Amino acid sequence: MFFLAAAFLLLGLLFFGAVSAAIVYHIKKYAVQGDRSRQLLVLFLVGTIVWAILILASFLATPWSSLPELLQQ
Amino acid sequence: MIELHKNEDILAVRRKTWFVFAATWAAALLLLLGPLFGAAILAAPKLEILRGALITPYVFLSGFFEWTVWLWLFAGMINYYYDVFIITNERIVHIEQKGMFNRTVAELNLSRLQDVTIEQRGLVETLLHFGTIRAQTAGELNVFTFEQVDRPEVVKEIIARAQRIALKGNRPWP
Repeated sequence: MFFLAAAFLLLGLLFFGAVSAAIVYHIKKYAVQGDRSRQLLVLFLVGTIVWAILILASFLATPWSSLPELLQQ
Repeated sequence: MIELHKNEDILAVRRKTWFVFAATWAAALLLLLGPLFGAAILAAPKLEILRGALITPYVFLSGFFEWTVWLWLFAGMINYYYDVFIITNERIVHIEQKGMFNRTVAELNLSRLQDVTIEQRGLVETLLHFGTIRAQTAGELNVFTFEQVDRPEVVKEIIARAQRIALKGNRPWP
């Protein structure tokens, strides 16, 4: 169970990280003079960091080895 | 950033009306709140499914769900926010963002501009003050169209002022 969750986490972080990087690239590249791209970028990065920390913290706090027994109860 | 010519100034940057993106915002907000409602239901006294060691795997899966919604929201935001209509003292630049990886940039020189038309159709466009702007250059069949732009009458006026001064050869604003 742990390895399955770890693989899911790794693939998820890689994929979501790549999509996040693409969004950051777009926001930085296509900004127009005087627009709110900077604020948009900060908002996006804050949200992204919050979700990533939430995922990592919950992964580390989960007792993956004993989870099947807990699910059966 | 768009590259400006020497002595070129941006007079206005217009986007599509907020109404175009409102449905995406509302859907994203509901979806972001979804796991919280889900947790409240699953942890309710009659069900009590979500308790003890099951909370963290729920947060783990919810985190991925929330991140997916977040990415979807910002991918949509890019589509909306970078679809712009830029009026400078020399030209009009229309950047059309289609999804994440398709982008069209069209330019129209103000000195060649012949006709600008605005069109507001129906109750929603009239009440929320948005519509379509069509600009046509002399000797060209292509019409420059920007749909669902906020306050098209104001944009038309800015274009008309910029064109008058561009034709005189002066800079419009000091």
